[in-house]
Amino acid sequence: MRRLTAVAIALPLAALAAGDAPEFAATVDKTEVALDALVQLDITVTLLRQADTGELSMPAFKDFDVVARSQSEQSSFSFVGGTMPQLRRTTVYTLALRPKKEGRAQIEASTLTVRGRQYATRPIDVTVLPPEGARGGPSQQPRARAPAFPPGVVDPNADPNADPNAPDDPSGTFGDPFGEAPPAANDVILRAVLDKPKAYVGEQVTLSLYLLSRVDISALQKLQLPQLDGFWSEDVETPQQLTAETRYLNGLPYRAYLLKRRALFPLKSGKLTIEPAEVELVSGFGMFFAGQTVRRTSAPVTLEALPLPEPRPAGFNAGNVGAWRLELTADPQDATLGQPVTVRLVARGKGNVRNLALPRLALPDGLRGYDPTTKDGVRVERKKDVVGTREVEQLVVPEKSGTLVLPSLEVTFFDPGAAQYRVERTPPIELRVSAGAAPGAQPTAGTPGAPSANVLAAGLRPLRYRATVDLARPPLYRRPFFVPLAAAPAGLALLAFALSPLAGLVRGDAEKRRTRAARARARQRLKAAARASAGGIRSDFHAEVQRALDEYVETKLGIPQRGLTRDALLAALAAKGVSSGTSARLVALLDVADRARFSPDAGAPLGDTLDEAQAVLTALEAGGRS
Amino acid sequence: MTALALAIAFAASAPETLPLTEPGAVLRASNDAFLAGNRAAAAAGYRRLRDAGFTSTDLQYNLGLAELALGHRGLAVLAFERALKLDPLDDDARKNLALARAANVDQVVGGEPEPLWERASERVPLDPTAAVALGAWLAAFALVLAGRLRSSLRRRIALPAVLLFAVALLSGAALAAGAWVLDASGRSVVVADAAKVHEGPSDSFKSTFEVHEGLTVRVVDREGRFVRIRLPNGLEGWLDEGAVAAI
Repeated sequence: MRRLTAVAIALPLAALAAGDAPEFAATVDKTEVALDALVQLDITVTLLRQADTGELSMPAFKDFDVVARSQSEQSSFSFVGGTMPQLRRTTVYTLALRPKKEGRAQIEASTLTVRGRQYATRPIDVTVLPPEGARGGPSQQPRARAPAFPPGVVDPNADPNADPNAPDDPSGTFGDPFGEAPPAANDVILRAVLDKPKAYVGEQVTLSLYLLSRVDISALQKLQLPQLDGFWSEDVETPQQLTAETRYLNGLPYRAYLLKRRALFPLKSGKLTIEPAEVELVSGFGMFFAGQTVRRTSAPVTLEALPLPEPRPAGFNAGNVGAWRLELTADPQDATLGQPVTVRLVARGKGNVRNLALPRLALPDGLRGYDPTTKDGVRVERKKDVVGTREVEQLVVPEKSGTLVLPSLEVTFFDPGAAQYRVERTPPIELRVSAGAAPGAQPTAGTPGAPSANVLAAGLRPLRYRATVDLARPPLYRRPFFVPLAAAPAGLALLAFALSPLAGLVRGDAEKRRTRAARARARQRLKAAARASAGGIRSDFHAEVQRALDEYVETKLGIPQRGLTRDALLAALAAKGVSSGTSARLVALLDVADRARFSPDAGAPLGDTLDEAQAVLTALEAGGRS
Repeated sequence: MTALALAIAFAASAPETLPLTEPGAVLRASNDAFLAGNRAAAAAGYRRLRDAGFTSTDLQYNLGLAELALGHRGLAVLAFERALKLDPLDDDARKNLALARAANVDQVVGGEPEPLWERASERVPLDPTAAVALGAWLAAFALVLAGRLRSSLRRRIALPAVLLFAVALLSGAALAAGAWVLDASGRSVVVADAAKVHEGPSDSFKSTFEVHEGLTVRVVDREGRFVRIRLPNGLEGWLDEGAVAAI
């Protein structure tokens, strides 16, 4: 608790007539301080008019060193005497002062100039005692023993050139607090720190980015993280609101802001360098003027990534680094045939779950498996440790009844905490597969013959009480008569079709025989005619020629000549396709034969008639068709 | 005394004791036993009739119910299938068959569904179809013959003859398809509770999967006492012939 041991009220050098005069005061937390301790000076400026601006002049601090400074601002409205509310803007400047010598010391007056009027605080006297170490007394400065920055963290980039006691303002004065001078380099520091300097490949190290500031920070504009080549990284903490902790660096108090914390998993062995991070921020004093944009870069950080110890166990996968537990489950373990069973292999533990390699489930005979699905979960414990869960889920379907055993699974991990390899096993799991339940189609009992008894469960149609039964007979199409009966008409038709060419063939042979017989008989008749001609018997000659022609025409062409007129004969010959020329020659020969029968000595020479008869027969033999 | 009389009366009319010379009486006694809750006696009576060469859609239907009531799902499916073989339009048998199959352990996944013509052919009533086909065929030829004998009739009988031929061909095709489905397709039902299916026709071959009662399969080959079955999804294997029964 702050104890105001001295108060210096501003005394207007001018008249205090005006009711809107600023309030101006300087206070210290103690008036006695050891030489190696600090005294805190608060200078409070309250402006009551909105348009007011002030010019503050800090004391010269001849007896003190300014080791830290900060300021805070506050605005409020006040109501006085029923008038319009007044805006009050209060700025408190806080300075940490270290006395330069024992004895009496004085904090000089501060002055404030507002609207041309000057105000001043009273000087404050402070008694400086010998250092605490020399006095051996209890500490009066607990903040002086605050933990070094940050606790438990390797600070590889402490600025060796920074002079913690050097004031930011070389003039040794606070200067113009309303000026726009940027903060000095060691007033704002960006630091990247690792939680350990060495780690195995795959082991987690944590990178933290801190902003150390001895001035006010009004905005953080940009934070550029390093590339982090050679690492797998997971975000561990990104504060949504910057919260300051007071830390001491080389004896100087700093407000430390955590900007980012990431878990890094080195992917290869050797010295791995984390490149600098960069931050862009606005330092400033809020409502009185715009802040100053400054950039800060962290120093590179180096991690020594150790290779995994040799020899490595057989079957070890280099990605399996961490402290992991395996769990194998099957749900349900009592299943029926065809019922899907979900088998889950879950790995939980600390480490890089993304790099984890889990064994595949070896399915026994009788289990059909579908493609497994993998789901990873990553979370952060205690804002530091990355813990993960990998869940491999596989659907299996029993195809056999009985007991099926899912075999044990085994994974070898390297535990970096214990620096040794460890084997994690799951016990085998038994699946009890039944053939399934019978249908619930049990008929209800009832009274014989009662219709109401014939009601069955599960929607079954009822029993047929008035049923008939007969000796089993083969279906109609398999009875002996069916196929022969069906085949009979078709067979008969086929037979008739098959026989028709034979009949034609028979008919053709008869015609040929008839033609051959007609030809032979005609030759015989003509030979007889030739003999009659040689014997000079003209009547016989013509009679034989006429018979030869008649018989040939009747036999060959099927035209009975007897009783036919010449016109009818010509028509019949034409109907048979005999050419008109051949028909005319035939009729002419028949006319000659008729005339010779009544006047045998008349007519053409017999030889000519015989030649003509042979020619006509030859023409008819050849077809004589038109 | 009354109970004794009833017991004697029931024993005298028990389906397993009645002579097969009166198949109707055996069937009725079996039905009575079923309705009285004595399903084992009912099933035994139905089986007696079946084994003695009697059949009917009703007999197979009632047998299917009795087997199902006894928990013999494979035999029930077989009986309902046989009832449908006798009368593909029997809706009761089809519904009960579907209910019996619904509890099958094996629900075949994948594979092509049976072709439409095959599914339609299962519903073809064979005897009526055979009668129509044969009658139309003979009548068509009779008309053709009449036309040959009397040319004056040819014009009048041409169209009826063509129609009769068309009816005969269509019904004949339906008959052939239906007969193939029932006779040549090898459709069978697994009647054993569970049967291991092997890669070859012997127990010494590796068992690849298991089938269970009620599953309808096709028997596509036979060797020794083993038959090769094919599931609707194309899965094949050999199992003991006693595990399946042809529809």
